[in-house]
Formats: sequence, C-alpha cells, structure tokens
Amino acid sequence: MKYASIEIMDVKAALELVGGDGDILKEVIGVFLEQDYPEQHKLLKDGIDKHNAQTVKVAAHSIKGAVSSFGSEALTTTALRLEEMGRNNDLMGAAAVLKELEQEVIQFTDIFAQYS
Amino acid sequence: MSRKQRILIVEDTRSLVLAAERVLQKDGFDVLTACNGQEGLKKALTEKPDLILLDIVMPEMDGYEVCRHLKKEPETAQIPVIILSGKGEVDKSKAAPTLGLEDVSDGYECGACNFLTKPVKASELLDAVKNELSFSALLG
Repeated sequence: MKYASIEIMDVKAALELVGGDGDILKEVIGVFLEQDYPEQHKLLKDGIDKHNAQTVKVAAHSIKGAVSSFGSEALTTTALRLEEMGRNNDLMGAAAVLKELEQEVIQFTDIFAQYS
Repeated sequence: MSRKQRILIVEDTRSLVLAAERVLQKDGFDVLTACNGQEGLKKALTEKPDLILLDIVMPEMDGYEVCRHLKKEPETAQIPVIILSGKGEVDKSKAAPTLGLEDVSDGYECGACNFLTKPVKASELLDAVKNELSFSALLG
C-alpha cells in the first residue's frame, strides 16, 4: 500500500520475513509497534535532546532493521537518515526528521490495522 | 531419539527476534534468545547451542566483540556463528541495506562463518542455518 509515491508497507515483502505466515507477521509487527518502536523512539528523542549522536545512531539502526524487514521503504529511508546523522555526529535537523518518522509510523500503524 | 538442534539468537530488536524464533521453531529447531551481548555469551556457555545467530549493532557490547569472546573460549569456540546485520550502505533504489566489504572483513576476522543482511527472508535464514549445521557436522 502506498501513501504518495513511497511505500509505507509492502505486505508481500513483509510476509517473506516469516515464510508467508500472516499470523506470525501480525504478532511480529505488534511487538514492534508496542515494544520496539516506543523504546527506540524514547532513545531517539532523548539522544536528540541531549545531543548524544551515538544513542541516535544505535536507536535509528534498530528501527531501520525492523522496518526494512516489514517492507517499508519510507520508514527505512527516514530511519537511515537519522542513523547517518548520528554516525556523522551532526544532529542538526534531526528533530524534524524524527517528526517525519513519527508521521510515517502513524501511517504504518493505520495500514497494519487494516491488514489485521 | 536425538535432541532437536538448538539455535541461539542474539539480537536487541524484539520483533526481529520473534520473527526468527517462530520461523526456526516451525522448522523443528529449539530456539534460545538473548537481547544483548552479555546475555548471549552467558547462554552460549551454559546452553551450548549448535549455532548462534548474532546481530552486530547492539548497545554496550557489539556483535564483533561477542564473536571474539566466543571464539576465545574453548567451550564455545567451535559453535558456528552467523552474523545478522543491516550495517553498510543502502541501495537507494530498493532501500535494502547491503553489507559493506569492511563489515564482511570484520566479521571473518572475529570468527563468523557466514553473513545475512537484513531484511532476511525466512527461506534465506533456514538455508543458511541448515548449511552451516551440515558443514559443522562434517567437521565433527
């Protein structure tokens, strides 16, 4: 499913992560939305607020690993931008990119709810 | 009756641990999990898994360091380690991360036997695990 021209979630690609088992996929994405994302989002926010580039890099990397596995081109690209900002120790504009990530996660959650 | 082969997953992203765990369990493996490097080292020593799937970027102790510790310890040195990583550059056309040469070099240097780049399909994961277990059995 697409918002604008960027893929928010490619269900077919996401199913490849779990061998085509839709029940497992629902369980896995549920864990991401209820546990991984809130935890890593808090680290990202704290890292940006406290100018801790290493924290931003590791938290963004964790989110990227998950969302790339769920076939989300948009979220993967945005998480990668934050990871690179952390890696380059340049957090200028990171707060705005985090807002983009938050919006995309809302869209992703909407799509997941329809899929469920 | 021989026991099921046992796989230890060391990864800090719970959703990805769960995905790999379910895929491996469905295929008949026993699965142990650890959410950081220290816990992974402890479980490797106490549980003696047949194979370890190891994430690279984790807080505190990264996967390369975990792998070096495993290979130094006589009780875990022979356990095959497959590195799971989303590290490296991204192909912008696919937004799919690929391993950089530096990552592969670091991985072999620390003693890993294979690499999988996230996103990892269930079929790729199972193929890699079975191949390494077969190879490990041949070596005795």
